[in-house]
Amino acid sequence: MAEVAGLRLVYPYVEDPHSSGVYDPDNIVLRPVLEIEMLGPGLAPDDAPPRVAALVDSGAERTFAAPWLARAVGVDLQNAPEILVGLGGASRRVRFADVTLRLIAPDGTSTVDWQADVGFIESWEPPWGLLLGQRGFFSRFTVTFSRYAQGFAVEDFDVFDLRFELFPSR
Amino acid sequence: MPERVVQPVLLHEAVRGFEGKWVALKDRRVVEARDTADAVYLALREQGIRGATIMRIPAIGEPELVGLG
Repeated sequence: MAEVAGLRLVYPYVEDPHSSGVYDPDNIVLRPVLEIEMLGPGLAPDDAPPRVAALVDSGAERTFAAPWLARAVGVDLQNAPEILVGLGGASRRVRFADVTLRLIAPDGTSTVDWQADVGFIESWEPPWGLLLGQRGFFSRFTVTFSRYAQGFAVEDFDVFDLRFELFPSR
Repeated sequence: MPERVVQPVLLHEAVRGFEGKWVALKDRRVVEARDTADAVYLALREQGIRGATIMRIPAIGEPELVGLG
């Protein structure tokens, strides 16, 4: 797949799978979710990296991942820095590692790779494999949400500055 | 009014019956379902399936998640 140039990707919102058991057409839970692959030292060049549904979570300071992803791509967390965070109302141990994440374009034909410090949480319940937070995702991309349009846009990190003329002398 | 270019992705029909499982979705169809994500990923590798997206389908009655991060 080709690397995206002049990044401007528009994604549809995705129905939360929680809706499956209690489906109500007038009350569908929609989330800003996209597809991400994780790469790591345990993958051979021909291996398909694990691809997960990832929640774009503007309220999260950090980017978090399910622990099985570390196992899948061969990330060694034995000596990784560890902190405690509150997630879903409980304290969780999180170990951080630098990994390569791959954003998949909505049509699946192109990708963007970047490095991110990702916290792997030992106890994981969300439906998504990744929570994309301020550090690691919003620090790399400009993200615009529209519940009205039921979609969101992912653009280059400096688009926000240009759109709002934060550096007019540029 | 013209139809919007961006339409939400609806999953409830595709994942019905897989509540409580980890699944792999491709072209909005479940191609693999297991009890753990590790098992789903291993099954995809063994079958040579690429580009399938792994996620967990909450069990029936599981509350809607809020305030994750």
